[in-house]
Amino acid sequence: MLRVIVFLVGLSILLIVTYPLIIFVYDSMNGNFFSIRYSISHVNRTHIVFRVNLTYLNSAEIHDFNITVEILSEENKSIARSCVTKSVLKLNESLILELTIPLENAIKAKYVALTLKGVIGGIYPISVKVKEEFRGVKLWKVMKY
Amino acid sequence: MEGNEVLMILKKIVKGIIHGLFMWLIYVLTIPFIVNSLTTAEIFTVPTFFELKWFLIMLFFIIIFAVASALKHRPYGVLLNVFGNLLAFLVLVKLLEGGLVTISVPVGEGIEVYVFMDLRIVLYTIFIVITIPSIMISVYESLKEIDEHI
Repeated sequence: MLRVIVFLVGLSILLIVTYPLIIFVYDSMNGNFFSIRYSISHVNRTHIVFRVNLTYLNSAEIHDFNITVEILSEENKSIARSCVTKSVLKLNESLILELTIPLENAIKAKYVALTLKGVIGGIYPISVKVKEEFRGVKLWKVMKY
Repeated sequence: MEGNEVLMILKKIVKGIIHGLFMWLIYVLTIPFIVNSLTTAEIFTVPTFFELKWFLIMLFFIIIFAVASALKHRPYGVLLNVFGNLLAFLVLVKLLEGGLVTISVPVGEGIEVYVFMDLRIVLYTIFIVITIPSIMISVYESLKEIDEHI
């Protein structure tokens, strides 16, 4: 009897503590973490604006969320950098980051690097690093325009 | 230890191992068979080495706890129970890389994704609410039995 009670109490505490993590992992395994869209526009003849639109698709809330976007050259040198912080990020919420890059620097752009940091459900710290190569040379296309 | 008692203990150990083998049959044969019948897959899934490795570890624990339960009235039973619980926790610590998990997610060509998670709180919770109570209960029960014998 004692064993059963202790087991049930232990299991309940464990489920309460791991609840945000279970939801986060379940949603992530179904491909629902975040979606990112990039867009580029001209400000003038000397500068372009690189815009990142992040939509959070997970049911588990992320506390103290911080996203950093960095444009890197082929040698991994930073060309431009932007950062946004949000106290709580909930399902379907979007964040937009804008980076204004001089054209002479944009020509060197090879990668876009994202660093997402936060605390899942206020309990589990998480950090995600994404590094993507500019395919289709989008920045180059804008510059030719 | 009397002959009858030894036989009883051996009987319990064999029962525990048969239980483990039964679980093995369910895990290795029945589950893939049912999953295959429900899906369009035609090939019978053979468990990978990784799956078998974890199953063998599970079987090892089943045997440890079967022996511990068979030796319930003896100090070895308590010791085996404590050993099994601590070892199970260590396996979990090893599985979760000490709670600091780094995963490389395969997304596609030209994209690198690394996820870092701090899951130490899960390990602390399991240790506090599962491992420690299991050890304490087995020690308490054996002490209670010794008291009753006295």
